[in-house]
Amino acid sequence: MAEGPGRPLIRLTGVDKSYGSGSVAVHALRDVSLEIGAGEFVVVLGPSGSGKTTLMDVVGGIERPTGGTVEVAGRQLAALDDAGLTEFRRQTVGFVFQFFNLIPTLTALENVQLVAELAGNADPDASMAALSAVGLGDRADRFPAALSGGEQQRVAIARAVVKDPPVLLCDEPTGSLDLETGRTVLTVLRAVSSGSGRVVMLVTHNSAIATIADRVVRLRSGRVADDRRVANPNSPETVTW
Amino acid sequence: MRLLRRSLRRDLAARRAQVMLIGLTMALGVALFGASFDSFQNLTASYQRLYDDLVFADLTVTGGSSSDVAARLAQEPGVAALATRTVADVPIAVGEHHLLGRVVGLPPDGNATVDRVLVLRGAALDPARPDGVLVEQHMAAQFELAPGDQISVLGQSGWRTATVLGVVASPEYLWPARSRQEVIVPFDQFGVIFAADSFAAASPPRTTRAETLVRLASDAAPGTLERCASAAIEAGATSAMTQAEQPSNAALQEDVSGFGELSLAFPVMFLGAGALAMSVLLGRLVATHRAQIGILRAVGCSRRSILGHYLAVGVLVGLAASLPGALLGALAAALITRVYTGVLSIPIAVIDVRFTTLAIAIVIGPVAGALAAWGPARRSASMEPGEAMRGMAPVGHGGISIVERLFPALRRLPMRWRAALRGLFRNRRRSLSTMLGVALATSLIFVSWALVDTVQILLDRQFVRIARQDATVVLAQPVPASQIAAATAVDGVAASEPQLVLPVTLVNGPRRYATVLVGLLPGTTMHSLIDTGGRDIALEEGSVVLGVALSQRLALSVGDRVELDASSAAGQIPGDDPTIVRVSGFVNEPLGTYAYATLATSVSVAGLPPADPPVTEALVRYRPGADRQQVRDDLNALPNVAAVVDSRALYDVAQSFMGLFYAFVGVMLVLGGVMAFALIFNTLSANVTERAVELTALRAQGMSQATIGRLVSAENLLLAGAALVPGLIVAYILAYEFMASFSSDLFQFELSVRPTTFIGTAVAILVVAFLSGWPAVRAVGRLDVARVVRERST
Repeated sequence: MAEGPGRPLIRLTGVDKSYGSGSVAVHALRDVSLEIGAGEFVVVLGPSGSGKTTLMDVVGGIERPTGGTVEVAGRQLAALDDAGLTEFRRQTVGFVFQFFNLIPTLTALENVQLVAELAGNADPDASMAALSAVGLGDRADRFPAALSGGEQQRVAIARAVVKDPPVLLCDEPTGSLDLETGRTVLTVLRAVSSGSGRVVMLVTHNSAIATIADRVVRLRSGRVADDRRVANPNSPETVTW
Repeated sequence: MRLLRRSLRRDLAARRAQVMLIGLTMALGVALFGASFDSFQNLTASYQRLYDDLVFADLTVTGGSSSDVAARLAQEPGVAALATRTVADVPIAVGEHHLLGRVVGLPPDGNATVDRVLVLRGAALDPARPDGVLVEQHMAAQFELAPGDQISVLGQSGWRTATVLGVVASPEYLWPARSRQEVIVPFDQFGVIFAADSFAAASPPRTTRAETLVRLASDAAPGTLERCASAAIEAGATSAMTQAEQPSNAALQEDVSGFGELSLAFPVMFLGAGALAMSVLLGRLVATHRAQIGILRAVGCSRRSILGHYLAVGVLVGLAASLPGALLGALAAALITRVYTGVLSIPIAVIDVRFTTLAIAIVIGPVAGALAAWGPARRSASMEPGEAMRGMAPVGHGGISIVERLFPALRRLPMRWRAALRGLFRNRRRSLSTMLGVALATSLIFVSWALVDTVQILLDRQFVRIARQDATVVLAQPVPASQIAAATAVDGVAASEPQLVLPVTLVNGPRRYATVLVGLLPGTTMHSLIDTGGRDIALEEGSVVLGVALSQRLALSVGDRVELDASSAAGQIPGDDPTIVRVSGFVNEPLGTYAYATLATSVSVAGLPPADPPVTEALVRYRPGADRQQVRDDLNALPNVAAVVDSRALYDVAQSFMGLFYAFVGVMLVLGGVMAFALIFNTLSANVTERAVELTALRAQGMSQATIGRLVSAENLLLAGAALVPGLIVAYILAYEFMASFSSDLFQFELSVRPTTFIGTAVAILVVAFLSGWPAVRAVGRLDVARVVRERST
């Protein structure tokens, strides 16, 4: 297990996750233990079915593990009920999905503001700042249908970071984007990570993306197959696939 | 295509609740069509058969010399049968109970050529039993009279004893209306007996009238009826009433025609609602099948095949709803006919299964289904394969909603509420469909509720605001007006006023109308005269105030002059020559169409001595707290009292007749709720399915399920609320037209709606909207967040 640069913000100990039971049981995670420190940019790499998205969902409080413990930002997730998990996600975690899942009837700024309001920050300036931080200050009044895929994903990133969560979880954020747009999104993700103390956990099957990470965790058949730090991460602009 | 069919089958199975609700709504539409249309046909046929069997008069002529009138009418081509008779309005006593009676003359053997009676129990008239009478079935039921019982009838020299020979039904009294002015009379206060004409003629002077009955041949030329009516008037008659105007028939026809109107309104509303819901569901399925449709088109499937596939779904669902609906409708029609004829004691019930109705009922479901499927089917067929194979099309482009443009303050709402607001404009076609459906449901609920309001308000107006007496006392023999208090002096009576009731025919040129002239004290406290604007009208000497229906019927306006012909008065005090008086106003009274004048003017019309004239009725008010039944019994026991018509009893009778009506309205309210539920449930389910990914993404970002539930509910309520305003306006217009279609000189059904009805309807719709959205809200809560957020958003 690689050691993180700061105090552990995410700690998984012997985490199992299975679906179904008996002969049809599917083990998505098996005895996964990880510690991720504040400020780390971690890429979770693995082929389809390796359990990487399940790992992200368990860390994000979307799914409950069937065994082991998960502690995020000092909170034991097993101790939280459904309302507690909702509150946890609202305050502690930001999500970016492969498909942007923006609300088509709200502008870019309004999509960001919606989540900011949820977290108790109704100040539109904060939402505008988040949107500017992803380079879309001049697209604030556009509706999703008038934005490109990359722009929509950047709005999704702004939406995820506007509440300033200590953990940002990204599930194949470049999966539906072309190379150029993907690079832009990765640049934005690195930017929202650096110097903020925020953990960015990026799940992908694309090994090229792993080169920009501080740390790469490889999953295979639900187990951690490899966990190593990257000495000199590449710049997102140089990534190619 | 097999792939698409299988997929569609599974999709429909997954949405079986929606499909079943759609089917149920359409089946209800079909069933209600069958039930109301065949009830209309059955009842019409029942009446017609009875009328034919009993040779119901096409024209009833009153006044003049009946032999002269009959002789004149016999010359008219197209007349199949003629009869003359005497009719007397005299008090009848059953034991100690006095009531308003009518003796209708028949040939000595009871075998009339026109207006026969059907003997239900006992025997017909017997020439060997001159004191024998036949009792009309409603009176017999009220007083439990049977053959062999005895009753008393006022004759020229006092009370006569008559023996009941039989109980009969008469086409003239299937509904025992006393006149067009008195359609609703409590059964214990008005009764009809049939006797030998000589018995009727031996009634007290001035209580009898001569009638000539005319039955036309079935092949009589058009216009024969009008020619006969004119000929009768020329021969000296004062009025001629057609079968359509005959009080019993007119009252029953009003009811039956209601079934006829409903047989159109029901299928339109329910099939329309079902079709809207189906259109929404199929639209959603076509969007879901986009990729499959793209693949099929790419491998060579024609547009026509795709179109036919979705059209077939509409037709099949419609057919599946039609078959049980048609069967249910036929059964319901039989049941309604049996119950209706039973309640009204109609002796003949024609119950037929009409294959034309069944055929129409079976066809309208698939037709509605095909129309509903047409839009989604066309969209499916017009998809380009390449574009369709790329998956789901974006639902719609964003935009600032029109309400936010109109009311910029709304743009300061929290973002989640703004999202709910804009959701209304996201899929305009679907929103409009839902609004149309909600407006339909609003109409059904509001119209039903408004009918109850109208009837209750009108009954209150008639029996509380207008007729302010507690009872009307009908005297057996006229007494001087100054002695009216003495004539009604019993414990519990606080005040009494004389009233002179005089049958008259109002004449304005060729237009005639037979009614009664009611003579009241100029400052009467017993009867309020209220015009159409709700203002009180004062009676003026030398003028009359008329029921508002006569304004159009006799083409009269305030200030015009009208002729009052009392020469053939069927009542107690006939006058001599016609009197011409001025019309000083029109009153808006719910029941009947009367003429009102001061007592002095009425006396003048009747040709009676102006000083202390004899009157035949008294309006009495009871002392507060008096035992109404006791006062009524005491009044009834006075020697010169023929009958006591208690206003409360009249009100209660009117209310009791509304029982069936209220039950019917209750069913309508439930159906309106079901319709609204089905529509909103379907639309919202489609909306939520479409937005599952983005809503779940919000769940992942920390939005609670309760907040999402509130957002979905708010959008739902906003949609329903937006449909309410136009829905209520349309509903008001529908209710107004519906009531107007029933207005005549018998009843003035002016739409009267309580403000609470508007509020109640709105609340009912919003509650249904909230409840119908609840399953969808719960479905969002049950979504697997982890799975859904990985899916492509629509």
